[in-house]
Amino acid sequence: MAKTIKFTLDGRVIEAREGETVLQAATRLGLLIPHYCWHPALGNPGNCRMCNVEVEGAPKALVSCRLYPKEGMVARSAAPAPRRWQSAALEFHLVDHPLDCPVCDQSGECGLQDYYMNSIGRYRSSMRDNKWHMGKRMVLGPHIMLDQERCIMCTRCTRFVDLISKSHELGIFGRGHSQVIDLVPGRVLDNPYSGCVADVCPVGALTDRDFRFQVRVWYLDWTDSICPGCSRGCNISAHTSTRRPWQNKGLRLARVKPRYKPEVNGHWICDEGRYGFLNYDSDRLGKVMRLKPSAEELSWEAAAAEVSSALRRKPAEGLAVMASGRLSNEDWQAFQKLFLEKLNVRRFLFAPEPDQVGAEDELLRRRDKAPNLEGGKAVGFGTRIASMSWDSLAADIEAGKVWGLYAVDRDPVKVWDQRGHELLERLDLLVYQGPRKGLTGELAHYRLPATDWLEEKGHFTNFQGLVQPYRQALKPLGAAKPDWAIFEGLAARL
Amino acid sequence: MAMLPFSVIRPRQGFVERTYLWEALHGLIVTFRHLFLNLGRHLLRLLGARVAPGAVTIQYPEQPAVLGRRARARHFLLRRADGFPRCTSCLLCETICPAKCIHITAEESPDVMVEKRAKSFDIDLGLCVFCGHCVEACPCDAIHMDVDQVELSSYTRSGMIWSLPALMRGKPQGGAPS
Amino acid sequence: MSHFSAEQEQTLMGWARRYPYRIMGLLEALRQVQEWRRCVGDQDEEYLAKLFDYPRNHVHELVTFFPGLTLRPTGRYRVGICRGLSCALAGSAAMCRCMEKSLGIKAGETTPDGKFSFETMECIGACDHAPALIVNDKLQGAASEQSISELLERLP
Repeated sequence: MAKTIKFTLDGRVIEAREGETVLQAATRLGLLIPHYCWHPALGNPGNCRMCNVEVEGAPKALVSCRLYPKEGMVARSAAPAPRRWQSAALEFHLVDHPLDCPVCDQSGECGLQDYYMNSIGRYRSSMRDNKWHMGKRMVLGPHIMLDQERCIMCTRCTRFVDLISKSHELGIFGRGHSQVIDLVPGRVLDNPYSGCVADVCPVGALTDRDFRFQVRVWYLDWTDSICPGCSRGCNISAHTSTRRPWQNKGLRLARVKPRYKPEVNGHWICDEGRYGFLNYDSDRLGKVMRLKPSAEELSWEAAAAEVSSALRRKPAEGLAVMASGRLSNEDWQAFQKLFLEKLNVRRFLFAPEPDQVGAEDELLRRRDKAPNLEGGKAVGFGTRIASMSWDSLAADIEAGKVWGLYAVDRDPVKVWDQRGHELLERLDLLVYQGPRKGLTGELAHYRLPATDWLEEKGHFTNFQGLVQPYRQALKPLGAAKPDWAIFEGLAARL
Repeated sequence: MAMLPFSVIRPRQGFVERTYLWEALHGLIVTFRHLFLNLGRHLLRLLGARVAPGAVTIQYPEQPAVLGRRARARHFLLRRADGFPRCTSCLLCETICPAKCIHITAEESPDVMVEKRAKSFDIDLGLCVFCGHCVEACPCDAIHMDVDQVELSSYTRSGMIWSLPALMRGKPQGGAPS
Repeated sequence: MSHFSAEQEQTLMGWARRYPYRIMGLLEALRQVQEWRRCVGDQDEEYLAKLFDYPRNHVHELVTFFPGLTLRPTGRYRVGICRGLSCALAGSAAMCRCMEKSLGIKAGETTPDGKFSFETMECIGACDHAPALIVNDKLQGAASEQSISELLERLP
């Protein structure tokens, strides 16, 4: 039974855990004390002075992020006196803050705006003098832009590069009035987690270059999802822009932000996942097509009938199926029922393509860039059933042992290049199912449009064995259906 | 029908009132009085006398439309001293517009102190309800509706969509349709 | 491969070993480097970061925090005029302009031959000699047009 300390905050009795500060206890219980510099993963420097509370018996304001509660302590943060102190601290932060709200991307989710509008702000500004000018529109790295004027010196970014990414590119240089955040001379902010500094920055000082000026944040819808970038399955929030389709260049996915999950990704996501899906809407398939012998758009019923009979035309050992770790658990179940149980296929390829194996580090990134090979293992793929290699499959096609290929979201032409063209020509049946056309989509006999991860709901199992759900954020394009629905449609006719 | 909590006292109508003939005649007298009075006024004004006008009709379009001081007409985007529009593409007007008729996309401004400007700014005047919320919302005083140009029609729906250059054009000369 | 001589490296190592926590010696080591080189350069920061096992961004933070440490070389004679309140009331602004004219450089700059550098300094606590003039940490008395020209002639 851990020791708890009971104290009173704004009239409510709170139980703080051992070693918790007043701010941590309050935040854990959902009570808001305004703050900027404290972050659960980045320590508590106590430099923003916003979390002032009044404590009975103490002669002056105390910052609750450095205050460890005593039994029976009575603290107030919403009373008139502490509100005045918080308002004064906010006014100091705003002294040299430029009037950039119309042009600042943080507008709508800005810490200064939030506290200013919610009863802590002083609407009559006392500013009479000119504001101090510093660097604006400074490119720090491939993904982050800095505006020194907007910075409130909370040091969250410098603590991030020191404690989390451990790359030490940023610092606070100078003193007093002319303090600025900047890069260490000769360095560039290019660590694999550079996007996270824009997350932690409470104001518009550090912003995302990819998101710059694309769409206003109040037009975005947020959906809980899982990043399909690697086998860790970091929890993300997909921010989609569908309310004003002319914004964000017409693209539906505006940005990706992390969601807190202590066991999987903490508060962070890597740049590969954050920026890797911004071309989500490109090269998409929406029509169910038969391309050979004659090009014709089909209904799902007609296509299911034709494809299912084509799959049974010749013996099953000449049929090869390509899949990948991008299938959800539901997809894998239906996949197994269709190809193992109904069709008795023996040749499977789910080995990664060369760009699906990448960098790994101690923080988040995993070598395996497919999100759900674990889900395949649950139905035998990778345990009982081994994957062929690209070379062995190519050899089998060349030798005439394979007459039909069913590719689920895989692009063999990308891997086999020119040779791929002639190999695929030899096949009697090439069914291509996936969200994008890629290089192989042109050559297929049947092209079935599938939804991609934001347009369906499902589950991924990450490398730790954790099953994580992702929700639907967007409507499917055209006639596209989830992979499992397509598999079930075919299985029903076999 | 519920019972009233009080009674309405109705005076007894006389014979003449009940036949209503007198009221009808009375109405006609009022109408013809207006007719002859105003006819007289028209005649006197024709002869040059300075009397009150006989009718309130404005001979539009030969005479210009009279708008109130606070009338809201077409939108007008103001310029900065260097000639560029004041609009910084903050999208507040687009957000507040109840008809969702403003479409703006943003781009970088070459001036680093300004940072952002409108790449495209389209208002569909066919959808606009002329409420003036966009003028209220703008933090840069970049959009006005006080140009008093009310001749806005077009032969096509797409012609009703005004883009950035059209919105920045100045006041028209005179009241005749351009 | 550092650009310090063996003897200099020994001195710096001495600062690293002197205090119970290694990092305590960093500021003294920086002051030493400023004395030798009249500035703290990128390579110096890298060297000291490695020596004291401290990330380079924090070393750079220290260097930019203290006006005594500079990123670009000061002159052989580092001239300063106090900009504190007493000196300002006594006319330090006019003396700064006079100095700038005499040296031909603005505050914060070094003459091309590297002999003089001029800067305005925070209060040095010599209000009885307002506006105070200081060269290489030695107080020269009150600045006046005469004393400035005398000083510049006198220094070799």
